[in-house]
Parts: sequence; structure tokens; C-alpha cells
Amino acid sequence: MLRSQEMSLFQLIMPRESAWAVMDQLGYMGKVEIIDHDPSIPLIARPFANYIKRCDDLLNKLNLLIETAQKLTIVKQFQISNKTNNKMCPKIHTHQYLDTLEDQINAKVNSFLELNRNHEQLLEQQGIILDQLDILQECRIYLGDDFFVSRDSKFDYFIGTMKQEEIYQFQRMIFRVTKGNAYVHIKLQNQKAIYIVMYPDQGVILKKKLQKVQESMSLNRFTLPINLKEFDKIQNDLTVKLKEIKQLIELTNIQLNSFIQELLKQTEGIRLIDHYNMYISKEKQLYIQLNKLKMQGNLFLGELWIPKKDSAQLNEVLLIVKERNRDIPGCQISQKVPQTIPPTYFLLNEFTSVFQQIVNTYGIARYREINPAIFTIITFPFLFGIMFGDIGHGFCLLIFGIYNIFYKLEPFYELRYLIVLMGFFSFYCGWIYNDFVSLSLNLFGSCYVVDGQLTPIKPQDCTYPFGLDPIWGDNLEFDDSFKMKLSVIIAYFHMCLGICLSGCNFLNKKDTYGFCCKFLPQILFLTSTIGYMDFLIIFKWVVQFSPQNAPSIINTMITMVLSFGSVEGPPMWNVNSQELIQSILIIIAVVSIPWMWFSHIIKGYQVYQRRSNVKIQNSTSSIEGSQVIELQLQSIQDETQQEKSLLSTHDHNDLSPDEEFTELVVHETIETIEFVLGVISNTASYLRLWALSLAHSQLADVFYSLILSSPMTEGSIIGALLRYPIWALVSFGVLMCMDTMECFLHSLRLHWVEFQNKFYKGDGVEFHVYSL
Amino acid sequence: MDLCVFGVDDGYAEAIIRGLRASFLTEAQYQQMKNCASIPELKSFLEETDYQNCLQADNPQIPTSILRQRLKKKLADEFEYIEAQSTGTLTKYLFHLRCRFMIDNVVNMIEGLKNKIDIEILLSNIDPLGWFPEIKNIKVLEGDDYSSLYRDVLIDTPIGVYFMKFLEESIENLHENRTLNDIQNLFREMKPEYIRTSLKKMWLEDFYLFCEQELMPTSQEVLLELLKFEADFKTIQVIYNSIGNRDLNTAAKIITTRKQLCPTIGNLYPDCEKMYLQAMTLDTLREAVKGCDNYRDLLKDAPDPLKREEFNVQTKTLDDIMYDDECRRYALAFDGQGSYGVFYSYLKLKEQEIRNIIWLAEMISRKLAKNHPGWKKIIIPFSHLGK
Repeated sequence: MLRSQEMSLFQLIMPRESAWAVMDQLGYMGKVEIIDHDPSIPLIARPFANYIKRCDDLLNKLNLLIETAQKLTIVKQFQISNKTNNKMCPKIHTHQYLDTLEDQINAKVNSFLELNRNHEQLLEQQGIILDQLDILQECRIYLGDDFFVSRDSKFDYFIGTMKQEEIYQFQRMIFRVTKGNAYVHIKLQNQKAIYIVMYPDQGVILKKKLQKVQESMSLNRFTLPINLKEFDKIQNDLTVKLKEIKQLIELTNIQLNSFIQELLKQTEGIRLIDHYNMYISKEKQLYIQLNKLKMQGNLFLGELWIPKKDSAQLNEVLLIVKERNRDIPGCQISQKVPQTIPPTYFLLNEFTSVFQQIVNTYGIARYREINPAIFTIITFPFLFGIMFGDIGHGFCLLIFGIYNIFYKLEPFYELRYLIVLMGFFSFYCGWIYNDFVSLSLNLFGSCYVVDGQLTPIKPQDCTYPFGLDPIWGDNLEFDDSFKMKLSVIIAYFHMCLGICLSGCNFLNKKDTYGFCCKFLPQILFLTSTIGYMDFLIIFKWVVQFSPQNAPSIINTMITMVLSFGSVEGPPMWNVNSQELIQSILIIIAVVSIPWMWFSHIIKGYQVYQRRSNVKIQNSTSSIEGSQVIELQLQSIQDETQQEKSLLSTHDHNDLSPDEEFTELVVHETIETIEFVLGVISNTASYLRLWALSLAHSQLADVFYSLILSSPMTEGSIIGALLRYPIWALVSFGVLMCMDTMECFLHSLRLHWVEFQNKFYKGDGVEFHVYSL
Repeated sequence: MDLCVFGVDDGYAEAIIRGLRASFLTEAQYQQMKNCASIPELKSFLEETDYQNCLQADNPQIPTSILRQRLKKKLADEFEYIEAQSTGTLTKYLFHLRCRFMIDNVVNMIEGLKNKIDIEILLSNIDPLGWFPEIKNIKVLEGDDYSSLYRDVLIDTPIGVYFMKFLEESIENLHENRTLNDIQNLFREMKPEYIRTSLKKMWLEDFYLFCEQELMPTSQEVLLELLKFEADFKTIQVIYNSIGNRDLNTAAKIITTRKQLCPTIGNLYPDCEKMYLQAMTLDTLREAVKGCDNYRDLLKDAPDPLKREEFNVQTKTLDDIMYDDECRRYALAFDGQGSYGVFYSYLKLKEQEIRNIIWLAEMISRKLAKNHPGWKKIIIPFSHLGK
């Protein structure tokens, strides 16, 4: 967790025949990342594109099947389970299994769709017959029995059904085409409209036109029976037909049902349909990974990352493959020296992952760089607690977090441990501040005695056991001074930790030069300025001064910087020794600036000179043997550098040594200025701890005094009861929701900017594990 | 001012368009498409792009006509979504955009019915962007009786207005004592292409007026410029195509027809009108439009219409040149913020993209050699940005 896992690079060479089996086992091992040999190749140009396509097709088909099955109301419990537990997937298969599955699924889907189509057709036929019956009935009611007995030949009719939303359009069309000489009767029925149009029989042209209108708009068309006898006959025929179709529908329903039951049948604790889905998804994933390999003739070449401690397993896995498939040629594996920076991989658990996420949002750690997440676990909630410090609110947060651990509350579930720690530290800081929703608790009995005097008296030997004495409860000046100083002290230690981590990084890389020329001056500079101030603060807390003799820390610091270590006003301890110490500190601080500024520039200049010398030699004299090697070495170095720069955010691929050197000078200058100014400004930035904590306590105070305190002092219980919900709601909304967010964000900023910029590069590449 | 309030109503719709802007195929993708050896390969390539979902259900050996239909359907769906997200002026504006496609659909239907093509085929081929419920009633059309078509079907539709104007104008143009027979003759002789051009001209003028009157200044600035160019483009096209046209035998007839078909907006109107109406050769046309630098340059490379028989695939026709210039202009509309121009441009450029894909699909299905000049005949939207 402190540093990312050490990675080793392996090269895998395997014949085409065993590729599937090997990748299958690697996938189940779930410890490797296959490197894409050329990400720019589009999917279709890769060797297994058609397999992926097949898998996609099959998945689509299965989805189609599921969707259609869900649409049918006959089977209600047809739900696809979302949780596909891969462990349940039968492990021993060969790649031919996909073919068999494909055939199975295709056959199943086709027959199912066929059945479904039949079913739909039958339903449609049933619909038509029902329509017809409806129309006949409607005609009889509307036109009357007489109509069928003696028919008037001056009029012509047509009848049918259409969609309800087209009624008006239909009526309009009829009106226009016949120029108003038609009568349209419409009856709404079962999401359809039955129409009967009567129009004078005026010749072929009109009839033809109306027919076209009818054709383009109606769903079904019918002709009217000529007389009553025929009417009855048709009606009877239709009812008989309807009965038959209903029976058929029943039959197909049963078939469909049994079909789906078959799909839902459990084998080895897993439904057939889930088995299909899981296996094909897995197969797709496998082929995607296979596509990353390079194909040379009949061989697959691939490179993969694996954590060093797991690399022994790799051989075991390959042995298993060999044992299982004796008939196919085995594969070879060999360790390689990595040319690129390995990916960053942390072993995480439920507790640490959320903190890692906080860090990863800023940037993935560089390979083997110190991971700030491990420190963040405590410092993040602690800084939050300093800002949010309140016994009551902190306790609420703590309870909420604990509740979340035991009962899943979706959006916060992932953050549960973070919330618990945040709640705990605010609870703790609340006790230190002695602040319970803006009130001070007097649990242990205040040390101060107020007996009619202006300033309370404090007996010498009494100390309040934990936190601030409640007598200071309302004293803003005291609070401010305390919290402000506390912030600065925390600032120093937090930043110090950051710089020390950068020192550890240098040591880990065995970069002694960097350790001496970056880490040492930085920590000296920070300590001699802010560190000294913190010392003064604590010193002043510990030692008792009489009010007129008390030295001012601000003045001391200002004169120390402006007049080279001299002391004005009352000294902290002895004037001479203080001046001596202060001037030494000033010298250290001043010296450390050029120390960190120029050290790398000088080194860079030497390299630059050496290089340009080599170049001149190369261009003038003939290339000697040793130089050839050197050149080759250089070109290799250049290549790795190029790859490095490709990985990092800056793009300086083709820089000449000249430009590279200028780049270095600019970079070092900026970094130094940033650091020196940063020491001051970042310290000031930590004052947000004080500001937010102040804001929190003041807000709580305002809500309490405005809403709750007046009825409580007046002693009206009803008033207090009535106002309590308002107070609770406001407290919840503003303090528990908004202020939590705010403190969270500020804590985040302190970590990302003030803490991590001291050591964290954050330009690594994440390790994507291939797991089936 | 209008930039401050643009986002209130139209910000979301514009944001969607700008998001969709990312879906345009890139030059590298076109290159890969050209390398496809068969239609199934092209299809599986398109499934890697934004067109994935609209093609999935189809058979790999997809005919180009269906491919076109699918691509258009996707564009129409996107457009419909944006329309549903719009309010007020933007809705009206987007509806105006649709009218162009409706005109195309109606004319296509008329043309198809005249050629006795089955109505079902015609209906399955209509552009989904220009679909409206009355369109299936067009088959009421009897012979060449456009006026009854208007009276029965098109009167309620959005393009009814243009159709009416068109009918009125064409009847007015007949000599004084006209008879019913004359009108029938007129309609019988009328070519669908002629109807299309005149309807589109009216639509363009109407749309121009709409933009001028109802849109905010920023949108106007962008759109009027584009529309002016489109109008000029139409004018030049009409003139160019009528040069040496055998159907128009007399000079007077040419001029009246031209006058009817040329839009009365744009940079060329009215200053150059007299000149271009009289232009009978390519050179005189060049002379007529020389006032506008741009058009002179465009026409410089255009082949002579009098030698139409000599054209082959290799010739860069006037249309190609114009499309090329058009695409550049439309892509520029994406540069500005807070204008309606992006909607118009998006439609136009997506149309161009679909044309490109279809063209390539045709080339692939005919298995033409890779050095055939036709492979170069696509205009890639936003390709000039890299230069």
C-alpha cells in the first residue's frame, strides 16, 4: 500500500492452438494485464474481430429473446439475474464450446422467435375477426335491419377500421375528396375506430379516389353483406373461426411457456439463460484480450505485466494448461526487461479503496512512488474533523457512518469508512473545542471561579481534564487565537511529512544527489521559517509571561526577517542567544534557496557539455568502436526518454540538447520559486482550518441563539417544542449537509495541493487486471 | 445582448448539437472505410463508429438503399430529439428546416407515382426527416392534376403554402385567355425536377424571411450569410444547368424559366440579376458573377456545360466544387457561440457525411480499383480545420 506492487514483464509465446486455453487460464487467475501491442489498430483489423462480433451477435440475440419473453405476459418471473457470479461458470471447456453454444442459442432463438411470430400472427388474425364482428354489429345497430332488407342503390358504402389518431385526418380527406357529399360515421372501440362512410354513387372516378383514401388510411376493410341471410351466415362463420383461433393461441401459449421454462431450468445451481449470458460475456472478454497479442505466422507474441510476487503462479498456470491439454503444443514464457514504465498497482480492500480513490482522482501514482493514500486515511478525516469539530454534529456523522456499515444506504455505501472516520475525528475535535452545537459542556467542573469580579480567578493547581475549559465558551478572541495557532502548527507538520516523503522517494530511487539537493534544502528552509514560528508559538504557550513583558510572535518574525535576526521588544528568553539562533536560521534559509535552485542546473549543464562534445567528435572524426556502443546506448536512452515523455503530460519528444537544457533551467527556476513562495502561501492556506472551524461554530451559534435560545430562556416549553423542528431542519440542511460538503472539499484541497505537491508526481498508469 | 439570454431557452439544445458534433467521422476513419473490401466489412466498420446502434439488426450484406435509410433514420432520430428539447422560436426554426425534406419527399412521391412505382416502395424510401402523416395520401394523385392534389392532400401540410404559391405562379404565367386544357397541358409537361426547384426556391426565400424577422442578431449574422450563399449557389446552378439545355429552345423561354427558378435573395440578387439571366455561355456567367470574388474563383475551375457529353467520373463538376465550399462554410458555423446556425450546419454536414458513406459503399460494392478517381470524390466535413 505504501508503494505500488513491483511488476515484472513477461513475454508469452504460444502457438495458435493453445492460445485460447492459455488465455482462459490467465483470465481465471486474474492477476495479469495483457499489453496491447499497438493500440492504434482498429478492431476490425485484429485477428479475432469476427469472434467478438459473434459474441456480440449472440448477446444481442439473447437480449432480444429476453425482451420478447418479458413482453409476453404469460411468464412473469422471467428476470435475468444481474449478478453473474463468474466462479459458477464451468471452467473446463475448450474453445469449440462457443461453437456448440452458438448453434444451441441460434436454434433456440430461432425457434422461439418462430413460435412468437406464429403467436403474433394468430393474435392479429383474432384481432381482424373481432374487428369484423364489431363492424357487423355496429352496422346493424347503426343502419338498422331494414337496410339489409331493401337497399337503396343511390348510395354506396364502405366500412372498416383505422387508428384513432387518424380520425380527423380521415374525415377531412373524405370531405375534400367528395366536396362534402359524404357522411362519415365513426365509433371508437378498443383503441380503434370503426368507420362507415356513405356517399352518393356518382361514378367511377369518385369511387376510385375514395378507395385510394381508404387504402392509405385504414387498417382493415370489409364489404357489407347484401342481405340479412348472408349477414347471419357471415357472423356465424366468424364466430366459429374465432373459436378455432382462440384454441390455437392457447396451444402456442403453452408451447412458449414450456420453452421459457426450459431456459429457466437450473443446472448446477445456475439457470440456462444465465449460463449462456455469462459464458458468452466471458468469451468476448477473452477474445478482446487475445486481440491485444501480436500474431506472427502461427505464433502469438504477447507481453504481460504481473505483480512480482505472483509471477511464480504464472508458471503453475501454464503447467495446468499443459496437463489438461496434452495434445496441443505448449507455450513459452520468459521474463523481459521492461522498456516502459510499469503500471501502478495497489492491493486494496474495502477500507482503503475509498482513500485510494481520493488520491487517484488527482492522479495515479507513478510506479513505485510513495502512495499518499496511506497517510490520507488518517490525515484526511483529521483535517476534516478540525474544521467540522463539534460534539453533536460529529456524533451524528459517526452514527450515520456506522449505520452505513451495517445497513447499505446506496449512495453513501462506498464512503462508509470515510464517513465513520470523519465523524469520529469531528467528535474528538468537538471535545477538544468543548463545543456541543454551540454550547460548552461543563462536565468536569470549570477551574475558574466567578465571584462578582470582572475577571474570573483560576486557582494555580487546577487544570481542566480534557479540552478547553467551558469558561472560554463564548470568548471568540480566545477561540480564534487558539485555532489559528493550531492551524499553523498543523500546517508545518503536514507539509513536513510531505517533504519527508519526497526524501523517501529520492532514497528509494537511490538518487543521493536529489536527496541532498532537493530534500535537505527544502526541509531546512521550511523548518527555519515556519518551524521556528511554531516553536515560538509553543514556547509562548508553555512559558508564563506577565502581560507587559509578553513578546509578540508576529513582531518577532517580522523583525527577524527584516533586520537579520535582531530582536525588538521583549525577548522570548535571553536576547543574545535568541538573536544568535535567529540569525543562524536566516542564513540557513537564505543559503538553501540557491542550493535547491542551482544544484540540478549545474548537473544538467555538465551533461549538456558532455553530450555536445560527443556530437562534435562524432561529426568530425570517424566513428570508433567504443563510440558506436556509446551511440547505441544513447539512442536506447533517447528512446526510453521519448517513451517516458509520452507517458508524462509534457510533450517534448524531439528536443535538441540545447532546448532540453533551457527547459531544465526554466523548470528548476519555476520549481524553486514555487516552493519558496509556497512555504508562505501554503501555510496561509492552512488557515482555512481555522476559518471553517470558526464558520461552523458561529453558524451553530447563530441558529441556536436565533431559534432556540429565546423560548428556552423564557421557559416556554411549547415555544421550544414548536421551534425545535425548525432548528433541527436548519441545522441538518446547513450544518450537516452543506458544511460537511464544504469541509470535505477544503480537506480535499489541503491534501491535493498543499500536501501532495511536495512529493507526489501522480503521472503513473493504472494497472488493469485481466480477469474473467 | 442575445448571447446573455441565449442559454435560457436554447442552451441545452445547442449543447446537444455540440456533443453530436463529436460523432462526425474523421479523415482517418474515411481512410479505413476506403480500405474495406466488401460491404459486410464496411458495415462492421460503421458499427465501430457512432452508427453502431442503427445497423446492428441488419444483415451484413446490406443493400446501399437500406444503408442510406438507416443512416438517415439515425439523423432523423437525433433531430427529433433536439426538436423535442426545443421551445419557442427554436422549435419553429427547426420545423422550417424539416420543410426542405418534406418538399423532397413530396416531389419524390409525385415522380414515383408518375413512373408507376409501387406506393409501398415509395413509402419505404422516403426521407424520415421529412415525414408527415399526410404523405401516404399522396397516392390520391390522379394523372397530372396537381391542383386537386393540393386541394385534397397538401392543403393542411406545412408545405401546402409553397405548393399553392407554385400553382398560382405557374397558372399566372400562361397567356391571358387560358382554358382548362391549357392548364392540364402545362401540368402534364411539367417535370418533377422543375417543381422541386421552384418549391425549394420558395422555401428558401420564406426561411430567409423567417430568419431575418424572428431570430436574434447573432443567429441572423451566421444564418443569413449561409442562406445567401445557398441562394447564390442555387442561382448559379440554375443558370449553369440551363446553358445549352435542349428543352428550353428559345432565349425568351430560358429567361422566363430562369427568372422563375432563381431565388430573389442572396448576394447576386438584384445587382447581377440582369447579367446572369442573359448569360448563355459559361464565360458570360463568369462575367456576370465576377462582382463577388468568391464565386468567380469557384467558377474558374468549373467545366464547360456545353461539353456535357465529355464529362466523366474524373471531372470535378460544379456541384462538387460548390459542395466543397459549402461544407467549409457550414463547418465554420460551429465556431461561433449562441447561434442557430449550428443546427442548420449540423443537418447539412451530416447529410454530406451520409452521402459520403453511400458513395463509398457504392464504390465498394462495385469493386472498383483503389486507384479509381472516384475514391477521392468525397468531401469530408471539418477536414479543412486541420490545415
